Amino acid sequence: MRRYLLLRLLQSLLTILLVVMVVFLIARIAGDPVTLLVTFDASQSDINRLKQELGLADPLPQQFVRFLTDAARGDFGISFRTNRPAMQEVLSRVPASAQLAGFALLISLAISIPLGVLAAVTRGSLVDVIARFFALVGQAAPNFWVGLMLIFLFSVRFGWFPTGGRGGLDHMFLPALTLGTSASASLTRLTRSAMLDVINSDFVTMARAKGLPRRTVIFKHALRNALIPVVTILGVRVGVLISGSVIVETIFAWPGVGRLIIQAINVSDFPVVQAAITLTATSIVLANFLTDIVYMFIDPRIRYVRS
Amino acid sequence: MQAPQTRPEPGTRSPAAGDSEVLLSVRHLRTHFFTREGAVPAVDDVTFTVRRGEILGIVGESGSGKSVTARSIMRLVPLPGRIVDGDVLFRDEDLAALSQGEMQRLRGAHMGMVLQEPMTSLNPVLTIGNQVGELFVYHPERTPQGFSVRGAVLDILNRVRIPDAARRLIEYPMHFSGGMRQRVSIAMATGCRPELIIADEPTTALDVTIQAQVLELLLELRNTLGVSVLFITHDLGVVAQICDSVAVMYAGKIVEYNDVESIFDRPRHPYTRALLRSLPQLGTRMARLPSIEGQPPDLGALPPGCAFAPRCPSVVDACRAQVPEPTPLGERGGYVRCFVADDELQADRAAATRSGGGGDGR
Repeated sequence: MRRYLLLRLLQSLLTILLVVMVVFLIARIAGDPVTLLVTFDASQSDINRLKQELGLADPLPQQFVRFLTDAARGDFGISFRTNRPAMQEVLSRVPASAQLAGFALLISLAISIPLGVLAAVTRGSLVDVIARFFALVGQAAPNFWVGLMLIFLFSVRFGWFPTGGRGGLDHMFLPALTLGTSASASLTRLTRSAMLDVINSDFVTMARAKGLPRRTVIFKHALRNALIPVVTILGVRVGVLISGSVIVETIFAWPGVGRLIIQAINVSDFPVVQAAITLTATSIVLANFLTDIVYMFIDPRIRYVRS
Repeated sequence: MQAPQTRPEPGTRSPAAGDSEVLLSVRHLRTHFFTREGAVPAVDDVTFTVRRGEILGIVGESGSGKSVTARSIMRLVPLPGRIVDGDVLFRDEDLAALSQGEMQRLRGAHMGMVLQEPMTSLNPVLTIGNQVGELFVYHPERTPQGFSVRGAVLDILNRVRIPDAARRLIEYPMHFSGGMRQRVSIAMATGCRPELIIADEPTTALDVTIQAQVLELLLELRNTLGVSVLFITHDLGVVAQICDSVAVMYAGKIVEYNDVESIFDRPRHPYTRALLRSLPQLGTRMARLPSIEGQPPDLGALPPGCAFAPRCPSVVDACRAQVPEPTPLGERGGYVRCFVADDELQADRAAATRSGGGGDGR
């Protein structure tokens, strides 16, 4: 078990390293940051001097090593826009994003697991039809459209919730619902199909043949097995929730990391973009790592076989 | 039908030797699957009787309705299947009239089930102790006197001869071999000392030596606990070894039902005969084992008469027009569904009467 964890940890670190490398290379391809820093009438010698100062004249591998060591210390440079350290700029936005993602995750779990289980055990019923319709529409409808429709309906028409900005729970409701809807649509579908698979398996028949009550058969025997594929997708979804907030945060003017990325890209604030993307990628990798740990609790086969 | 008035309706008595009390009586059971293409009669007018301590073998090809018959008795027919007609009398109780809650009290406690595939019939994420223990947790009234749940689990695991059971309680199914898993299944099916075990091809997926051990175990449990066994199989060799009576199923119907000696010595239905001919015989050499020509029929599109008619070597015109009704076989509950066999039986009886001998009409 320890070896399995160690292996996954190494894989995670390697993934993050690769992401940082791509971020570094893209920044070098995207353009010469010096031209953004100097005024248009700067002389070539001024530019060269600045390049020398910023280390941009060094060979690429050397620059990369420096970038890496700086990044490891959390130093991604200074934001062109605000002159504050880029990482600090990003970190100050994390609480808002995490709050939104967490609330959205709660909404999606609260909808998808009960709905998926209910749809599976009452297959073909009205509940099942509604669940399948919800899963289809929820997956097909893009976030920006759902968000705009919710604003139109609940903010403009009824005036129940604010249209945007961060504040109390009422501010968070619509953006979290928007994010949660798309996530819960696919999770509902997945829970339903995983439950259907498991319900027809031999060990569920055996559990029923032992005379166990329906509730025990569904929750103890079926759901626990059905959760294995659900947890996999959930891990990916958590990552998507974090980065997916780019669109929703922009629509609802939510001051999170996603909105910061858009703002930084608009003004070519590369240090901030790099810091934000590295952080997003890291949290996705971290989410996947946590998924693997959750796996071990659900499925003993992983706990033993891979050790 | 020239059956004497004294004879019982075919199938309502057990053809097996002995006279213990009747435990299970299935009468005119019909279970259909309601698919998009229409109703498929997976079990069609099935009648048989099992006494206490009797082992009844249900034999047939895949799709002949053996498993659905078994699951209908436990009322565990998978969707879109549904019991549409017939009675299942278990301990003189009509199971169809019971509520789900009453069925739950019966399942596991009074009837247990063992499935074919030991690799999938245990829950992979729960420990063995937990899965066997559930049985006693939910049937405290059937837990052997003076035993804790753990004690009862250990007792039954020892009984099915799982070595070192106390240590293995916390292990998962993946730590057990196929034969050992099947023993765990049998432990779960028998832990509450049920009156009936439904064993749905319990040895098919096992290799031969393990197969013999599992059969041995079932026989032993029958002898020590007096349980009845409904043994579903397509292996006639196993039937000859352990069964008291046999029901041969074809396309959802029992085509021949009799005690085990009569089935093997005097098979009446052409299908039963064909099955027996396709068994390898010790001491004879054949280039090829005889097989039954053709394919089992599609249950959704059965021919109007006898379902076996298209493959039957002795087919006559009547077979294609009409489904044969059960003709009694012997003095007990046995029967055969076949026009040709019916004619043969009448001819035998006539010959016996002419010669004045005591023909038994079989």
